[in-house]
Order: sequence, then structure tokens, then C-alpha cells
Amino acid sequence: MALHPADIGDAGLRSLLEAANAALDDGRNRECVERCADAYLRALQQFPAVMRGLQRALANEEIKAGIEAKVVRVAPFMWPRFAAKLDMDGPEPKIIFDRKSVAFVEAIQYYEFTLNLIVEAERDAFSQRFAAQGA
Amino acid sequence: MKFGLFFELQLPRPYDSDTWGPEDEHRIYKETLEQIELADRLGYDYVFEVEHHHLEEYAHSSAPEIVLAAASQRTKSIRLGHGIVLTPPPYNPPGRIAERISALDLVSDGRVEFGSGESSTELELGAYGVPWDEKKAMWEEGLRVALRMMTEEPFGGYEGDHVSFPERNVVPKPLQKPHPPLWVAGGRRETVLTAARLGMGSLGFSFETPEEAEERVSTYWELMRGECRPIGKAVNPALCILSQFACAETDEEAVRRAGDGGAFFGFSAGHYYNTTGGRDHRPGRTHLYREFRDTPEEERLLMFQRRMARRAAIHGGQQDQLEQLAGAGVATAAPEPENETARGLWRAANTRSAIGTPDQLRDYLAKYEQAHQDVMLFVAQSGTRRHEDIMASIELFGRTVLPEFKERHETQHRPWRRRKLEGFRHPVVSSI
Repeated sequence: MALHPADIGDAGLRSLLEAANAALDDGRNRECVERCADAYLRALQQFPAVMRGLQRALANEEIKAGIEAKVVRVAPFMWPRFAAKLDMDGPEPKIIFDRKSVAFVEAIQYYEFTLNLIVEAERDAFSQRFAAQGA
Repeated sequence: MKFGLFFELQLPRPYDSDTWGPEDEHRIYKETLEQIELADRLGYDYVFEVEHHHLEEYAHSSAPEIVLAAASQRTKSIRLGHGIVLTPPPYNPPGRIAERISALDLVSDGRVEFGSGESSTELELGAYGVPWDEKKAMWEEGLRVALRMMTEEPFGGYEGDHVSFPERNVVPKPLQKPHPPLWVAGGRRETVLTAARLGMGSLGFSFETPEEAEERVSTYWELMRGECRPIGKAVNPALCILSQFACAETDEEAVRRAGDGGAFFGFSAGHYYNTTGGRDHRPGRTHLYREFRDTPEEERLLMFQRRMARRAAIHGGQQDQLEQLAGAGVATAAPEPENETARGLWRAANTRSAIGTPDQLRDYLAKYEQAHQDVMLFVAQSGTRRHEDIMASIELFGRTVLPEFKERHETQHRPWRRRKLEGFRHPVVSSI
């Protein structure tokens, strides 16, 4: 089954993903990614399992080396490294665009990533997975 | 379900020599053409050939348009698939892509399948100056411009991030209108869903199970019907997957014919598609096949587990569990990696898939047919499999199993697709 913004329970997050989807429909790719970024940053605050998963991913030596070498674009919980990058250096995580234009296919990937992440977080899937792994 | 052959043009170095013999590349190209000819005579529907660069031993197919053009003159019906053309402009400028696809479509009487992709190894991306974080955008821009060039008369010009091209009439135009069926390559579920959203066929390289195929078919069609924003002027609703392949009258003979093909396929893919993007490869020096053969099978499995564990760590998976297994020297019953890309490589190396007798293959493939999969591509040429054995497998399957699947494709699958396409709001160009 394909996921949709309506599958999100939290009204604020659902509204952001609905706006992202509408932007995608209209070819406003960058706006779609901006709304997804807003939702992702909010999800980091709202779901401890997402933040925990992200920290775990970023602490992994392979991922660190891959990011350093610029060959890693996707990792679990990590905002994909296409047109916009996650910056964890400041007091709060933020997302920085490093180019003006965003391709449609990139916008789709950000949208799918954010939608899946939030729906799974709301279903508590990550906590269950961590528990199963004894992590 | 339809069937085809998938070619990487694998060419392992001879074990006892540091490099290939003077005739080896010539031989593999000629054998490939003979295999395509035979498949065409027997009624296989597709041949797809990759575009890779510098991936020694794993893929010597860097100019698929040449092989497909040659095949077009030796065959009558088989569809000629680019699996894929690299459309980031540094690899192939969109003007040249449009011209080549159109010319191939003309000389083949309209038999081209236009698959596209972006590549995923540092050996390729680094050589052509394609940044990892821009390759997806480059793929899309190159493809969009090439499609406009095939369909606009004249092409109105374009100024973008990666392509700048003036107004010109790009000729020739393809025979299939508005353009040949479109496909996009990918190994992850996400890419399959992206294909649906863009109105493209999915060339899935994940060696998925029938259960996974069923879920993907369902979700793909849901997105295709409800959320498709076509990248071209016509959509190609189609799902295609890969399987290792060898067929013989007895199970033992099928396994013998398959030889080390699947294991080498997975081993060599793991060498290039790892977290360093293949940066540890020494061009012209690394002897992959010797490394493969000199690694005892159980150690090979451990090596594979470590590589996949690293990959899983990056893409999501059971890193800790796999590392523990590797460290403890446990060499059996490796769990399938959670991550899809890693799992695809694991399956390519470690599962039987379509290797067996006609009856075994009939049963195995019927599950994908029931999942409404459109196309199954066989990786017949792989590792050190012998040409004679590949030909015998293609022939036996083609004579004993293929006809009944072709019949059911017409009588059952096509009506199912027609129902799926009822009320569909986009033009369709598809060979399914």
C-alpha cells in the first residue's frame, strides 16, 4: 500500500505533508522539499526514536567516512543528502539547501522519505525494531 | 509474464593469468549476439543490456547501443532494451542520447525500450565528474531534455543547471511515437515507487521474492493510477525484475551449468557497489576472479557478510548481528540483509532463483506470474558460465516452458492490465 499524508495522525505534521504533496503536484519542487524539511525537523523533536536512530546512524564510522568522502546520500533516519543537507553542528538541527533548484525526482525522494519516516514513527515501529535488536 | 535476457557482459580474468587473452572480449561479444539471436528465434520478448564503465570483469558493456544495433540486424521480434542509458549529461549529452535512441528505433523497426539510470560507483561517477549528490538531478534533467528532443520539431532549446542547448531540430525522430517505452533502473522499493510517480517502467535489480513482487505490483499500480506525473509524453506501466538462470533436464546438470555465475555476480557487484564506491579498486590490477576463487567459500560468505554489514549500516539493517556472525566465524545460514540493495546482491550470490529443471522453473516462475509481474529477465551470462551451456539453457526453457507463459500472458495478463488501465488519463506506450 502506498502511504498518503492522511495516514499521519498528528495534525501539524499531516498539514506539512499535505502542503508538500500539493507543491509536488504543481511542480514547486523546492517548496515541497522545504515543507518536508520542516516536518523532518519537527519529527526529530517529537519522536525520540527518530532522533536516537539518527544519532546512531551518524555515529557509525562507515557512515561518517561515507559522508566525508561524499559517497553516502542515504542512511536510516538521515535526511537524504541531495539538494539539501542536514546540519547538526549548531544547537538545533537544521537543513541547509546548497543549490537553488531541486529536481522533481529529488523532491519525490524527500517526500517519500519524510512520509514513511513519520508514519513509521507514529506506529512506534522504530522503538520496536530497536528493542528487537537489543539496542 | 514475458521473458528476456539481461546482459552485463561479464568477463572474469582467467584465473592463471593477470589479464585476458587477446580474443576474450571479442568472444564474449560474439557469444552475446548468438544468445540474443537464439532467444529471438525461440520467442523470448526482451533483451536488456547495461551501460557501465570501467567495472572490469563485472561488466564489459560500455556501449550497449552498438550491441543492440548489431542485434537488431540479426533478429526479427525481440525488443531491444537499454538497461540502461546513463543520462547524467557528462556521460551522454541528451542530444546524442536522442539521436542514438531514435536511430536504433529506426533500424530495428521500432523495437527499442529506453531504460535510463544514473550509476552508483565511484569508478564511473568520479571518471565523468558526476557528483554523488547531484546525479539524481542530472539524470532527470538529461532525460527530460532528451525526451523533448525526440518529440519536439524543432526542439525549442534549453538552459538548465546541467544542460545548455540551442534551438535545433534534432533528427532523426524515433519510429515509436511519441517515443519508445520508458524505464528506470533501481534496486530499492523507493525507486520502484518513483518509477510509478514518473510514469516509467521499473527495471528492478533487487532479485525480489514473489511476496515482495506482489506488494510492489500493487503499490506501483496504485501510484501509477493515482499520482503519476509523467516525465515523458507517454507512460509505460510495467514492472520487470531479474533472476539468475540456468535450465537443464536434471537438477544436477542445471546447477553445473549455472556454475559460479551467481556467486561471482554477487561477489563482483559487492566489490564495486560498496561503501567506498569501488575506490579500493586498482584499475587494470585488481584480479577479481582470482580473489573470488582463492577465497574459500565459507570465507567468501564471511567477506560478503562484512561487506553487506557495512552496506547495511549505511542503508539500514542488522549491522551488529552480521558483524557478530562474521567475528565469530559463523559461516552458515547468513540472514538476508535487511537493506534492499544489500539483499539483492546477497540473493544474486546465494539463492537458486531460476536455476533448475523445466518443472522447477515452471513452479518458481508461476509465483511471479500470479503476482502480476510483467517481465522476468534472466541473467544467463554470468561469471564463467560456458556459452554452450547458456545456449542449451535458453533453448530448453524456450521450448518447454516459455510457450505456456506466453499464452497465459495473452489470455490472462493482458486482460488484467486492460482492466488496470481503464480510465487511465495518460497516453500509454508499452510493449507489455
